[in-house]
Amino acid sequence: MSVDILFKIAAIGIIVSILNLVLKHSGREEQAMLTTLIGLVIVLMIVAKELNNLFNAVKTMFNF
Amino acid sequence: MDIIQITGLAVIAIALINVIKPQRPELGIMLSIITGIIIFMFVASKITIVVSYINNFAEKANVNTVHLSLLLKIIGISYIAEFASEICKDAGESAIASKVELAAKVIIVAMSMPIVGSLLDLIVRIMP
Amino acid sequence: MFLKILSMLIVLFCAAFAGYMKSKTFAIRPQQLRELQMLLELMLNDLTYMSTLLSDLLISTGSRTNSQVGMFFTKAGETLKFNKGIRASKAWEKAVVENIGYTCLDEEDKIILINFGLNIGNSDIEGQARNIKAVLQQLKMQEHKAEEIRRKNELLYKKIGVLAGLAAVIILI
Repeated sequence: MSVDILFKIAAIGIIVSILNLVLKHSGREEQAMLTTLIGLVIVLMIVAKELNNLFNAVKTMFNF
Repeated sequence: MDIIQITGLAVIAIALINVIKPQRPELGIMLSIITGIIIFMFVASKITIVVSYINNFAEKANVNTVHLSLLLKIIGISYIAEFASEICKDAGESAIASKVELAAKVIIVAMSMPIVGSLLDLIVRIMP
Repeated sequence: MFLKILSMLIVLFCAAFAGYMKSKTFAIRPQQLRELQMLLELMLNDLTYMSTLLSDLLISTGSRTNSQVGMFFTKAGETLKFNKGIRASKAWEKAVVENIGYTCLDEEDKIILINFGLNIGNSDIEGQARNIKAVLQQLKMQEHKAEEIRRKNELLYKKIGVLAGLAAVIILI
């Protein structure tokens, strides 16, 4: 848990922005947008999993 | 020592978000969501202990457990709604945030309708 | 723990290597185009000043280099020599189509070469010389374009390889 996930998402963000820059610089705009989108989807999956954990925890905690 | 860990985590998160936000604002929001979740998970066990204490005392004091569970549910709903609304505000969507709060209020009122109903029943019966 | 780090390094290395290989194809193409031009000029010289049989001419030109580009000439010459009934253009086309996979030349180059083959062995020495000069000019233009493409893409693919490896490692870590 904890800090690992934060670093993972931050690292994905940095890599995606570097890839974006490199691809844009050489003129391949569509691929740049594609990588951004893919990065977003991956991060979304991680966040969705954690949100699931959160809501389950709240459920059990407050005796839903 | 937990609070120190939490503070450290928050500081790290703020540093990372500040780096990511200018380039990828959407990932910055994701980062803040995750930070909130992680910090919550940190203290989740303690909250469980508090809740079980409350349950214990309620049993000893002969309070109806239904009412208590309803109360706890309302607290849970309000917590989650506040979490969501703060995130929406952070992302700049205060309209969505207020809708979430409205939804939470409506759900809480709807959930507490039975108790309010029985209270009103009692009052009506007392009145001549 | 150690196994994890090792596998991460392997993934990173492979991705970087793949990017490097891809960038190399861009780097090699101008070189091969230049070599092709050199071989054609040698062939032009031999054609004008020595009267050899076309098949021997092709084989001797091809033997002047060790690289893949020479295979066009060598294979075409051999096919012509041992297949008495085949036309020169067909032999050349066959050699080009079979061997271009081993080089870094692309579709445009292939079309230019096959067009060159259509006129090979079809006219007298003057006509052949003109044919070779024409294809030399086309190849020169291709070489310039290839240098341009190389400048744009070589560094790019190396970077992409490394970054994609890094991304894969981070996601799977």
